[in-house]
Amino acid sequence: MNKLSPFIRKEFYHIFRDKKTLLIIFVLPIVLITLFGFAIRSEVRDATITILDKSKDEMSIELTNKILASKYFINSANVLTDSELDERFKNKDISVAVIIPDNFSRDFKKSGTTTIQIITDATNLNTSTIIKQYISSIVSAFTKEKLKSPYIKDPINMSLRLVYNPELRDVYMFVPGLLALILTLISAIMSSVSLTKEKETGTLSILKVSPLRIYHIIIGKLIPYLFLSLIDVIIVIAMSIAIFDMPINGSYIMLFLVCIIFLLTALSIGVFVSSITDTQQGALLVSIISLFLPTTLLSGFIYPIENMPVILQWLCQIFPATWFIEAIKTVMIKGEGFHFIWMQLLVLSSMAIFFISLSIKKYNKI
Amino acid sequence: MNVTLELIRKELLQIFRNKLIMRVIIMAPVVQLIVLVFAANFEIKHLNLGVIDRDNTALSHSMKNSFVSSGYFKIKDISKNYTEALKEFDKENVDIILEIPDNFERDLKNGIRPSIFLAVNAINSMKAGVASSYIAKTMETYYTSDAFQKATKIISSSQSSINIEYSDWYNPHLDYKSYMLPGILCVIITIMGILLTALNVVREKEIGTIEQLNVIPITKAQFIIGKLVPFLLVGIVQFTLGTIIAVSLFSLHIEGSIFLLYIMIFVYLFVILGIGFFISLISETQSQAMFVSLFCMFIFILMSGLFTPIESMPYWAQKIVMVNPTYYMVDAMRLIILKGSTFYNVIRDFSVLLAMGVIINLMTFKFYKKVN
Repeated sequence: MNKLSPFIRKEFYHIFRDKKTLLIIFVLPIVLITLFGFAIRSEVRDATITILDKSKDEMSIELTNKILASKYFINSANVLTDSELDERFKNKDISVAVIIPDNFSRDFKKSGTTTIQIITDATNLNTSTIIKQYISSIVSAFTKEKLKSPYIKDPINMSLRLVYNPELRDVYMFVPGLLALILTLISAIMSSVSLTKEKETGTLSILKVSPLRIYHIIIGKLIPYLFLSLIDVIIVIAMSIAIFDMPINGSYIMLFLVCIIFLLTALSIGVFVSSITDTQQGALLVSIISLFLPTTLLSGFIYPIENMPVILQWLCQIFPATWFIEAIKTVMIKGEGFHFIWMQLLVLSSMAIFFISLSIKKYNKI
Repeated sequence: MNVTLELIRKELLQIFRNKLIMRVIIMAPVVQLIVLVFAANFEIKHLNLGVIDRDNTALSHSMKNSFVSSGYFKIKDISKNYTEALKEFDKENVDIILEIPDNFERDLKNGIRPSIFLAVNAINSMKAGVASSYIAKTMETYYTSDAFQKATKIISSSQSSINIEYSDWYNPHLDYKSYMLPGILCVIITIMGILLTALNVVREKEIGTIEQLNVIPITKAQFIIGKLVPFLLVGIVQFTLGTIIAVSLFSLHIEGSIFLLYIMIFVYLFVILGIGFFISLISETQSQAMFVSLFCMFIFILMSGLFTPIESMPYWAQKIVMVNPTYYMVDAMRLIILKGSTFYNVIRDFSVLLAMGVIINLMTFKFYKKVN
């Protein structure tokens, strides 16, 4: 161990002297959390709407006001004719248009039914689906009001309970994924580039003839990144709790255990990548394609895995981030302990061992 | 001019000789497009419903059936008790538990309001929101169903209603792929563009060959153009490759002019490569350049309106979006590809990108002097 400590100290010096990178290592999580927490929203707010009311009678005006009063919509300049709509959509002045036909009240009172038209700009599919849902719920609430129903309440009392996240908070969705992303970035990508740099500049050969064994070198390289990543984990979790009131239902120890195991897995993959590439650029590109992109897209972070075609779902299981996110969610949100996540931890540890052994083999051949 | 051409040729040669980079340049658009298009899907297809039916009568069965026939739910489990159902719930095999009490039919027939209990897994808040609205819709349909009305003699006056006719413009097939593809193409060239350019000059700095370049008689302009043009070509090649795949494999239909599309790509690459180059000037090591590039990329891509709508962002975030080149590119791409917009419609995007490009490249030009 004594042989190793000067080496580790040198690595730390290298990193701390590089102020720019250090800055980004600490600023990045803060920025990402801010973005995800405040800026990135899947719900729709302030969508521009225009209502073309061809009846302008009592009921249609009431419906118009009801829709406009909702916090989801902002009224755009009222369009007067159908032909204007296309231009307005193309200029992105409006996202949705509601057309109320003439004789609205009269038709409704006479035959009991009438039809309104909702036109959405479907180029933005997510938003348009959500907007449709909003409007249709406003309309059905309006309808219920207008009808003189003998029942004020529904025939069946429905008691609905939201479990695990009663306030429907977004926070649970992104913090686990964000953790995975930052950890992957710092531990895997940084370590792979750093190790490859030694290869590229030739200093690895020097290290190989030193009394240090290859696994000493690898461990020595990884420890600083492990340390930095853990600091980032603390930053992310502290910010989530402080700013977003994210409750942690499980034990903190479990939480850190899961993070550390994932870190080790990510680091092991970083080492492996460095063992198969010769240039820093190469290490970076391979890491990005094999780690970074899958962590963002295929781990369940942004896009839910169950929506994907089956082949892709199997593919997702190959990536450690998928297992990590499952485990973290179980600990954070459900508050469960070891016996619920043992499989994820086992998978992650096996991946780590697998990659480390492969890497040591490869490095011994160099 | 000859000197510049020689520089460009040298860069291109270096790129072609680097097998790894060549592979990445070709593979990246292919892989990303295929994966992203299939993975990127927010639609909630169906919800898994676990049912505990303590009543087991005609009415409880008819209610269960109305959930199934709504098309929103799939009955995954029928448990005998709550503990069993909860296990499935915890394992996330079911999203919703529905419990029907044992006096359900009897109460309804006697005019007493029975209660049903629903537990919804709200970890995925979007799913839970959708689940709540689907449940409400299903119940409404149930009340108007024959089975319910005959058995309970409760006449629901939901016969009267305001019907809604939906029109989805500009995307008649509600194709999520058409919506995402333009943006994904943009992401690919953004990532490659910034990274490759940023790393390029820094590598020369690290290896030391930049000194050689500084002592030969080339002007700054020649140097910068010599570095940017090769990557411009790479970007255009990637975009073309991506577009060919999108059109042939995913049947993407380009409504507008392809020429206009290329003009926009050209001006966008102008900005992006300028940014990459600038990053390489302010970094001393490749890992620094890498980090700064990744940082920029993250922000550009996340705040571009590609994955989440701009209109939903708070005021300060929208201000940031206004200086995000990726936002303008994604916007222009969607306008051209999906809406068939003309140059007049995208003039805002074009001018902003052009201005940004000029500014960043001028800055690079000036800054390089100090380093030189």
